Amino acid sequence: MLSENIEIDITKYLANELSPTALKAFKEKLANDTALQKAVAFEQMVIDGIKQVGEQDLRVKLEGFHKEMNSAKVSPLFSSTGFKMALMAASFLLLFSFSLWFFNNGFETDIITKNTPAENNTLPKPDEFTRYLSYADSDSITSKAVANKVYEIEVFDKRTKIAVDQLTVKIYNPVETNYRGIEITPVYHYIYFNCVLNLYGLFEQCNISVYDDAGYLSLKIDDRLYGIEEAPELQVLVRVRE
Amino acid sequence: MKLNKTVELNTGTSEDELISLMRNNDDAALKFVYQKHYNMIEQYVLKNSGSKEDVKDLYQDAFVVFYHKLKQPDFKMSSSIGTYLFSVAKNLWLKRLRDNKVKTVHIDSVSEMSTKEKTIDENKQNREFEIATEELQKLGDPCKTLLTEFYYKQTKMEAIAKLLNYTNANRAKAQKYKCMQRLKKAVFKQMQVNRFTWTNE
Repeated sequence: MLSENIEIDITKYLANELSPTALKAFKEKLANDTALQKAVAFEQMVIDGIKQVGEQDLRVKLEGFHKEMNSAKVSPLFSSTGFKMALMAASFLLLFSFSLWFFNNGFETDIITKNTPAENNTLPKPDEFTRYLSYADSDSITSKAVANKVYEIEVFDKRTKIAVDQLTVKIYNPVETNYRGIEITPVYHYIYFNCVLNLYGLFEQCNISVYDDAGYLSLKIDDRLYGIEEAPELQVLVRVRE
Repeated sequence: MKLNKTVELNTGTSEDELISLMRNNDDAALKFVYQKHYNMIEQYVLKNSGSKEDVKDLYQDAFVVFYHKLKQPDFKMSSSIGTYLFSVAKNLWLKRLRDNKVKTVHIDSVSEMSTKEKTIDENKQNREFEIATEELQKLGDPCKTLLTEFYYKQTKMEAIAKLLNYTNANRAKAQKYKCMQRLKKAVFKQMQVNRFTWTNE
């Protein structure tokens, strides 16, 4: 049986709380004392067990959050058969109307006027002066950034000219993808809402550009690169919030 | 059992505030962050040959990694939470995909004998580890909360004292020592019983 002092020393040793002198003495003793080695290994195993229980508790908590999130997504009304059938009928009507509209207007090259859903932090709806640049026609769309402005990027389907959230094209959060691994991004804050990515940060004297990077739609802030989405048929808009 | 005042969380809540709340074990902040970033990981995994079930497992693993990092006193977030979670999840997912490929190659190349020896050793270690977790569950509260708060959540003694209604940090520290002694004793006893069982099998 080990003395209480030794037990306290073991606890302090494992918690890196021994003074340099005490640590040196403890390590010397540890090197030659098999019983002490076993005691240290035992205490470490018990601590690992405690951590394991802590992690299990956290996972139970996360599971609870998950269930709550899922139940919020699917309410009984939406899961009923009647509702599903109504939804299918509505989808069919919508598809039919869309097809009609497409055959009448689909090949015109007018300025796009449809916008993504509005939210408090998004830009106002584009008007006739809004400048849309074709992703396919240009390698790079560059905007000289100004400090403390909000930047919004919208992606549209080139052919149908409908905001891509309606076509379920996704934009990733800005993660640096320079093909040498992921590094930390300099974007201080962003909001991702449907297909709209709002960038907030001190972008003073920065160049913000959107362009094709080996088949990936990329966002570049100065010399840092962020992957957005692989999307070959898209138009991109970069606007500065007033 | 919250240590801090309730804060209303919404999209306007700053990331620094969220991190600070999570560091102080605020469940509402934990839930808010968990639910906020789920879709982003889901999109990535589903697009990269994963299933819905994969998404949940992967996201929770990534979240646990993030939580552990957050609890390290010297850890500083230099990116947004979403970016951090995404990069962890992406790395975990790529590793998982790689491991699945490697496994099929390795099964044939490892000798049967070494696998058997390794399995016996691992089983014994796993059993001892299981005993430690089982005995902690049996101890129950306040010891379980006290020890997990200290060793897993790395909560400061002052905060543990508040949480468990001890008069001060020293009182909590003394109680932690007692709990640890009780746990070690229980684990040791159970290990002896198991050793006896193993040798008689």
